[in-house]
Amino acid sequence: MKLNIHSIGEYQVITIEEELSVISDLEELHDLVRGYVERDRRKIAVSFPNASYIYSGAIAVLLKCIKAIGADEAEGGLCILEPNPDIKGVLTTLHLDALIRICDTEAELLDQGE
Amino acid sequence: MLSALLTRKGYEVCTAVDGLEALDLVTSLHPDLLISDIKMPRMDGFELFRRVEESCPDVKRILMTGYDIDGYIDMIRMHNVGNILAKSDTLDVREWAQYVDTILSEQVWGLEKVLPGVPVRSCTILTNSDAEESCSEVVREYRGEDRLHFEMALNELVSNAIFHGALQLTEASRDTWSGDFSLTADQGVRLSWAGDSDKIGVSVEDPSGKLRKTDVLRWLDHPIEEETPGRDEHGRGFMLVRRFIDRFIINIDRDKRTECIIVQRFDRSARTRHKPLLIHEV
Repeated sequence: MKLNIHSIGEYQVITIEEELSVISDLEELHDLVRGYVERDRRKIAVSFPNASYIYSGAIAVLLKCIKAIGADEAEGGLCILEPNPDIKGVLTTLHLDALIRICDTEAELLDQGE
Repeated sequence: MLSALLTRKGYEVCTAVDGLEALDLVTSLHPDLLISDIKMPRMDGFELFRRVEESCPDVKRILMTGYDIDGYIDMIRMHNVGNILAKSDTLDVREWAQYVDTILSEQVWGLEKVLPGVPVRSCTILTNSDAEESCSEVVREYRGEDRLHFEMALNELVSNAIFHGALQLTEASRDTWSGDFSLTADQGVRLSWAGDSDKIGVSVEDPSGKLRKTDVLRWLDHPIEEETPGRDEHGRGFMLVRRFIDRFIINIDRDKRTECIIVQRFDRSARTRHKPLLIHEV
């Protein structure tokens, strides 16, 4: 799985460059998040700009990432950055926006990170 | 209203004013079918069903409620109830009457029971390329704005039918499954679909009958957003389908076959606010 990592403010932004189609690939994301948590970095944003589709296995991995981070809002948490509008609709229909912050822009992520 | 419609259809209908009176009627008349509200004076629908299960287990039962069924899911699970109709603002009594016919005749199988008169097309999925091609063909016919929701629901049902039903890999880890498969003709997953200008329906049938009503109710009782310790790793797909799709019907002939039917109206405003919960297990 092709992952790019960069920082925006205090956030580590993990960008997944491909479709979210194979769970075993997404486990790489989970491992990466756990690695950050072990180093006590709990402000993590995940971006999948090229994904037009998501499925229950990918959602399960996102939930595992939230669990791994385990932070309250003041300490950080998982954020989905710039999701495709259809995927954002899926996440909100499933009420996952109560657990995962969804930011439509990097500026919004910065505002919330401060 | 339902009573009048069923009488017009030729059924002999008796009504009761509360749960206790209903229990007396069932015990004395031994009807083919009991339709009951959940909230009633003196005895609620769940207790009525429990008592009827003890005294007249062969009486078929349908619950109905004007409230959100998902708010009762723990009680539904506790009483293992499978047929619950929703009285909503878009109540279609003809659909209810059709459902009563289906339950009484036990002719629950096939998309044509849900979408009578609409031509049904079918194919058998034997390989992953069959699955991709046939699902793409069905999704292309979807005319609603929320195509992704429909596509996700369809793919969840098809992949579940293959993984759990045809391949019977439930004990294996889904995380490491490559998604490649090749089924024999006996293992094939049957995909059927039918649509008109208002809606589309899909049936996904696998020849295992491994799914159980108790499992479905347990999954529906654990919201997808809850990642509690020890949570069952299965069932998120069913929850997702329940949330995304207007009608989700599950037919189970234990150890013989399982059929999941979804029907989605393209116009969101035409969908029911409270969805029925329809699981037939024989």
